[in-house]
Amino acid sequence: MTYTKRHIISEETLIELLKQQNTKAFGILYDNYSAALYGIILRIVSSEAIAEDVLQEAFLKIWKNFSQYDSGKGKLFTWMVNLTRNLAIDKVRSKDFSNSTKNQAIDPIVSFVDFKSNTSQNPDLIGLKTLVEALDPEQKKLIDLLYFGGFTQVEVSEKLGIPLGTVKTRARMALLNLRKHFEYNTK
Amino acid sequence: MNAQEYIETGLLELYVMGSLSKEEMLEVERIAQSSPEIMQEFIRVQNTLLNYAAGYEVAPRPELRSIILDLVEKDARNSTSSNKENLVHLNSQKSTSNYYKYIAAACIPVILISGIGNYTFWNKLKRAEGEISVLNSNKEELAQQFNTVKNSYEHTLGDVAIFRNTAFNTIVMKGIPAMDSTALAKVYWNKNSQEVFVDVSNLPVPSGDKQYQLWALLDGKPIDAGVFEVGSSVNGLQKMKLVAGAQAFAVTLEPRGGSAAPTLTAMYVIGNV
Repeated sequence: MTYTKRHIISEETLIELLKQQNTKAFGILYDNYSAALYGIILRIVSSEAIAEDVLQEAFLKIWKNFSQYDSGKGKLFTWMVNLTRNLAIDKVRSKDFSNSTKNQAIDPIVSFVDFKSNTSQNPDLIGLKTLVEALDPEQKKLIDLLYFGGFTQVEVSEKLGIPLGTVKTRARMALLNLRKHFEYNTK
Repeated sequence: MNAQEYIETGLLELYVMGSLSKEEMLEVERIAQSSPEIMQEFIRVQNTLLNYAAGYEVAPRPELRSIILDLVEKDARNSTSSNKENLVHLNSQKSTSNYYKYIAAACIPVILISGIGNYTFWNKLKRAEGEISVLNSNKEELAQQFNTVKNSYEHTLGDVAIFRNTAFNTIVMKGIPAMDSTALAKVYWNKNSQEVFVDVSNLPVPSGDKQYQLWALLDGKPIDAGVFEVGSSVNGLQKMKLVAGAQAFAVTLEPRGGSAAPTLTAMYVIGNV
């Protein structure tokens, strides 16, 4: 089991240090977020070798473009996930990738990663498996397609054969369920 | 649309899940920043997804940590961080200023040619100015020479007119042997008009403080007829004072300006009418 140590540091302090291009702060950023980002990348690209490349690219880009991050617009993690996910999706949609992995459909990818991620499930979040299973299967599929599949709402609406408005409301409902669960668990 | 309605559209969720276009994302950011209620919801949605993602965490191989941190260190060192920002900035400025650079570069030959042209024209101008001043002085010289010639011509014409005018008597005054026997001068006298001209053929050039004076002798009395010059500057006939009557003319050397009475001991020439 690989287990990275976490640092307790406020997001504001970390952001301030990173704005000053502090490499030590970047080490903390890596320790705190690499597993989450790597998990997302793996779910998108489904190949460890490629996922490692994407993770490298993502952290280098986070470092180089950190001045572009605006804390007033959203959380650091959201910004990093968006940046990382875009890199992973670009990889998936690039020619090299489709040649090397024969374009698997999204569902096998997700289940494949489900299996993988289960093997290194974070024991701190022991209730998560039940949470994910507690989610309506339709909602889970939707979230996985949107969040881990890198599909746009239009693409998801076409893929699932549901209206665009339904994609939005279902996404919202799914996240509300998730939130309820997390907020219940942290109480 | 109020804040609650906006929250219920699900756009915040789609934003956090990365399913919006860039334009839509900017719009969500703008609206979230404009309303504390929406922003609060926005943060909650982000935290939810953070927790959700945490459930799928997979720790990368430990070796990746040093690889990635080395890359970052190298980048930080190579660029000395803030310098890099400056460098990139400078480069991007360069690209716009390149445009001006090319214009400036294009201007150089123009400036050079113009400079050479200016230099050439300046030289030509200076040369022309020199030529003009030479020509001007030549012209003045010529004008002077012309005037001199013209004056002497007119003078000569006048002299010739006197020589040809039968109204003038020519009186030849010969040298006094005691002074200079080779001395010789002539007087042209018009009895009617009383005009008198003296023509020096040969008189010794006097010192600067002395001047020759012409006298008309009438009934044994000398009458002043004026002083005249002798030398290279004198050309032709010199007009003297009017003389009403005379039996003879004589020339004496007097102090410059002339005397009231002739110095008889300094009489050089004399001739009867």
